[in-house]
Amino acid sequence: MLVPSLAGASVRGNDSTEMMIDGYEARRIWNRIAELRIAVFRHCVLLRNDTLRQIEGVCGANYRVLSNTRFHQAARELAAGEPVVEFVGAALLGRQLMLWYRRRQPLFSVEHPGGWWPVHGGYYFMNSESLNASVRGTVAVYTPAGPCLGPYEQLGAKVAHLGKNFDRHLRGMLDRVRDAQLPVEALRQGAAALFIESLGLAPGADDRRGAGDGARNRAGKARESALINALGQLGVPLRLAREVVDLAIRVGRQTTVGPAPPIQLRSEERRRYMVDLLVPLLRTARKLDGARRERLERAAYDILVGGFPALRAP
Amino acid sequence: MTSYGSLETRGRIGDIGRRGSFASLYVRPEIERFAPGQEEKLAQFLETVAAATTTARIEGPGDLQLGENGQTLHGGYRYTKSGFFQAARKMAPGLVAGAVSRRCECPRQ
Repeated sequence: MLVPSLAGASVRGNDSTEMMIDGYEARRIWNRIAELRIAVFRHCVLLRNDTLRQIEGVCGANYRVLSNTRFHQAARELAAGEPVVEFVGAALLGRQLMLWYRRRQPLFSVEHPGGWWPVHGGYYFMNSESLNASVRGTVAVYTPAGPCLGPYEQLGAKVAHLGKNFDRHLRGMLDRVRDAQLPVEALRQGAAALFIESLGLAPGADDRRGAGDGARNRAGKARESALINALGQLGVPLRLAREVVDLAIRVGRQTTVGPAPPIQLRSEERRRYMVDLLVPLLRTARKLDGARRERLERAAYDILVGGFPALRAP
Repeated sequence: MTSYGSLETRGRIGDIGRRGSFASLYVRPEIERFAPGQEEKLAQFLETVAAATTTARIEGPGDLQLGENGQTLHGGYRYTKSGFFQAARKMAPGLVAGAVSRRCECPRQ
């Protein structure tokens, strides 16, 4: 990231990094390379927002623009075809649009010590009007902690914004998502197991509230590493996997992060279960941009269907 | 039910250069969120964005090059982060190689 880095875009401001930043030089390098390489933009167009006076993308000659307006309309029509489906949210980051639709009635509900966990079926769609992503859709499973995304290969599809057949492929993607069959029984079993299967953290690591890192024993640390690696194998970037496991230990399924309670919890209450990992995973996902959020929500689906035994307690 | 948040503003200015009058390479658009019941609002918002959208052929380096104020020499546009990175990848992938390697951190990919 030479030019952004040189301009200070990727460093936190302090005295030592200040000396390594030179915005003039970054701009000079950028302008020189633009001059040198202008030929590669021969067939390209700039995607601009004239109200904000911003360049929001660069598109090539073969690129098929699917406007977010048209994309939303298509998704909306698909949802309207099923009166039991409702719009539950959307997010727009620059030219990237994400849409979530959910069935009103839950597929099933799982009873757990704190009440009921309703799980709904639904859809997820994403489009980018510029170059950085394909248009994609898949089924989504909505838990109270957030949506989990089904695999694109089996339950959805990705369509590159290229070629003469783009419209046909897009239509095919929407139909495929509409007709996909969720593995309801596997989901039901997986959701129930979330509250039963331990994360296998050693007692010292199960409760770090009020205790320093030194309180964690070696076995606990080894298990933490194993959980981080297991999340990594599910597609979660390692930095985020560390954050999620840390949250699983410190906060678990709780919805609020507060100071440590002044009471000593009983051993059983200190235990961490799969749900204590899934909830922080989905909570972390919601803070991220489109592509990284998708990865975490895909991993959550794999956990939900119990498709990753390495996460279970040894 | 999971909250998807409320509508936020967009177009916050990104990092400000520390040396000289360099204003920044790009702006970082903020995410717009639409909650349940706001689908019509989303549709209107997308219409507004579509109405403001234009495409333009790149006629020369000045369409890409930046002046001191962070605007392109021709037209006076700012890059968004995404627009800047797309142009950089096309121009010389090494300019944003760090961003690519971070995406490859995931062993599954």
